[in-house]
Amino acid sequence: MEELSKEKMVEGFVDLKVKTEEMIEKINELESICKESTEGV
Amino acid sequence: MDLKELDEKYKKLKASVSAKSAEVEAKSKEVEAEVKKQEIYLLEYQLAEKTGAKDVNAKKDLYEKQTKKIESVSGELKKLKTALEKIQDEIDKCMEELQKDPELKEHLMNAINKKHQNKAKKVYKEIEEKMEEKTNLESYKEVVENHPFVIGECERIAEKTREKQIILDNMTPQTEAQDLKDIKAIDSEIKGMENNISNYCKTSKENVSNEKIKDIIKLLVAEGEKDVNLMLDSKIKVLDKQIKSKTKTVNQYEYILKINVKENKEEQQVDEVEEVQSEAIFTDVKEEWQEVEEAEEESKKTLIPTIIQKVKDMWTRFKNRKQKSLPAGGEKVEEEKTEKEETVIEEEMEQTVELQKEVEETKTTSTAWKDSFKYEIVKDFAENKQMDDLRNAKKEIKKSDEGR
Repeated sequence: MEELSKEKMVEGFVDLKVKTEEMIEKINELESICKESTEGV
Repeated sequence: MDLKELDEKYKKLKASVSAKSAEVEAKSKEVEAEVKKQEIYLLEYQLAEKTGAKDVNAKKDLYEKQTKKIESVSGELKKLKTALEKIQDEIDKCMEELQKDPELKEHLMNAINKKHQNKAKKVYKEIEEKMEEKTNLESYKEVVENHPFVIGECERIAEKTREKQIILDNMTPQTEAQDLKDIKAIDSEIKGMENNISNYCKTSKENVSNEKIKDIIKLLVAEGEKDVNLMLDSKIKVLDKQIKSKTKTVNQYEYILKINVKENKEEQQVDEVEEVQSEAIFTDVKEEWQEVEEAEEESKKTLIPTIIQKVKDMWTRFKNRKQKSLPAGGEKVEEEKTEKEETVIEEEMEQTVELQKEVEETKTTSTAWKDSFKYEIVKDFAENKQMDDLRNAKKEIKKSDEGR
């Protein structure tokens, strides 16, 4: 049981890492859209 | 950090990530809405400027205010990114902690690799979609180059469609009657242009796909561009940038995967080297072991037979002496003789004990040496058949002593 919870915890941390990476990628994309929109006519 | 502590950290980080995920989602919708507003304000401002409308400055103000609003949203995005990076640092620390356990490290690496593989696949699929989009745009460019008439009509249709949309967006009960009239007129114009295109396609010697023309018009309307060439070129450039950036991302994931595979291989190589080293140590031990066993064997071959032989000789002499018939009056002589023989036997017994000690020492040394390497099976020297013979011989001497 202990082994299983350890492995689940490892997978959980990897999931969190990937989620934060995706969120940062999304923010970079949004920042670039904002930048394009504010660069003038 | 123990597992319980890590578990607590995980729960807290998971809650923070969920909260931030909702924030990012909200910001994404906000950016989309604000940028769309900005496009409309820009279009209105450009239209007002083109027509020389009185409210051109008001439209410009609106556009500029919206620009500042977007800049402010961009600032909030930066803060959100910083907060996420801090969370990532915390996650990294916990992952480093987990890596201290070799089993968990292996599991962690496998999980990361799997995630990166999935991510690489996803981005690769996105690249394929972008490439397909680019191919479509390039095929539109062919239509533009080969059929200028059609493209002229497309641009006009797109312009009229945008005008219609602006009227619809700004329609009020007061302007409704006039707006509907204008829309009807625009629709009629659009239909006329569409018929022109349809007739052109029917009479044209080259095959012009009506579907492609409809797509070009849709794009022109959606992008807010008036020039098809300009729109297609800018879109192809944007796609090139996206493909380049996504290819870079895929390469990064593949690089990480390669690094991980390389690290795993190196670790395996280190294990193999350690195995070879331990094998070399084992060979040395084996050689030493053989030497000790040879010494043991030697002692069995030389010392024990000597002891046995000596004991047997003593036993033979003892038996002969007992079996001998005593001559008359020779009791005293016999007694002296027996005393001498007993002295010889005692001396021989002492020698035998010495030899026995020597054998025991060899045995103790080899056993200690074997024990030091924790060998499970250590031959018991006492179990040796020759040692049994020695014991039996000793027993017989004891019995005969008791009998005397």
